Amino acid sequence: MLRRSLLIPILLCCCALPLLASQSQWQPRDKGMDFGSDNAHGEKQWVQMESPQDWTLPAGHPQIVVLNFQVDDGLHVNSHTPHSPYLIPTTLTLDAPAGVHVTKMQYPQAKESNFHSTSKDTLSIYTGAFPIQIHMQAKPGVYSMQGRLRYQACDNQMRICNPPRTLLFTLRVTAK
Amino acid sequence: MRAIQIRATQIEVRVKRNLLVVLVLILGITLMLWSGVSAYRERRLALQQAEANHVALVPDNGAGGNPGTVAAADADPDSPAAQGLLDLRGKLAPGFTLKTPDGKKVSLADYKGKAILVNFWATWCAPCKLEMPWLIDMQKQYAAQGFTVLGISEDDPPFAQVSTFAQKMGVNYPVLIGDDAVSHAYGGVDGLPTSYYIGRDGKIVVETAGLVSKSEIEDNIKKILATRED
Repeated sequence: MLRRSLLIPILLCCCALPLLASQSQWQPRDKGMDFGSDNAHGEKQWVQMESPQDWTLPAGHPQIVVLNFQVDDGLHVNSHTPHSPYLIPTTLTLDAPAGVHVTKMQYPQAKESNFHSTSKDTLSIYTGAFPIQIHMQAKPGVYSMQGRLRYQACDNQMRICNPPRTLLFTLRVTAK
Repeated sequence: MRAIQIRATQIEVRVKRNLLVVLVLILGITLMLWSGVSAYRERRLALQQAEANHVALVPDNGAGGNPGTVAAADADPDSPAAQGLLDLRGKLAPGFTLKTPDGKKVSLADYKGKAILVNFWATWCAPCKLEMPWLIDMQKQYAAQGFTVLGISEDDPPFAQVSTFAQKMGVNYPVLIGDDAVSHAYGGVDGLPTSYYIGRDGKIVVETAGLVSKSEIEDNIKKILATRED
């Protein structure tokens, strides 16, 4: 009898606690809404990854995972091997966990583009969709790895360049 | 008699138990109400802060528009708003003190009374590289009339490469290492190259984002050379 009658207030308290917890979650979220002072969150990207994030591979055998990236219309990025050491190459890095061995990153063939009507220089670039092949071998298991595509984009009229960006993504690999 | 005593004790225990239940119920309801009211107050405060930070997009009326406003659309394709820049025309150029790659401090105030072209650039910016020889020519041609270019590099460290690049290009004007504060003061310089043409009175006359022709650069320099110091 005593247990039954105490059940109601206990339930009420259980309802109140999540409310209190939700109240404490509000604060950090609101602090993130600091307009104009912090552009680290939600930085504009000019390249998107269009491949699935989840991959299932045969374990213990060399495999190729192809990641497709898409440059926004009207823009290009430098290839992995630009002609000048000052230009920022497009570079993919993966934090491979123990059990996953990345043997090679294979970048697509670049396009050669005339830089400007007043210049003899040419640029080595990617436009539109470009695939990057990741050669890897994994032991049986489920792995999550952080990927980063570093790039720098300019418009195709060679008029203006955007600052370098790093596109972050997560790749989940199941090897069995 | 004994039965009556036992019955009385049972009733007393039940009353106490019910009282306890009521007290816990009241406590629970109070907690819920308090948390609900507090959460509501927090949300209202957040909403007020968000409204306080609200930026109104005001259509720009070309050169006669209010300086400092951001226009979403503009009929003049050469206006700062149409180029994605904050309209700073007619305003005093934000002051700065920056270092050269070799550590020497340079301030905008050091060039008081001069016509100044503040040019944001980077070694990774191909159009910036293209306009650099033009800026070198302008420096040669107009320095004697009280003109200078100040190149602000938006490169990340190491800055030795900025120095090497400038030397290789034959840059004949001061090159400075930019920082976020200066970019922010000039409206958040994003695309490169971006240039601000500052008159002898310290006010911004023209802003350009992206590569423009050599003749347009020269025309803009002539405009700022024609201004008078206050």
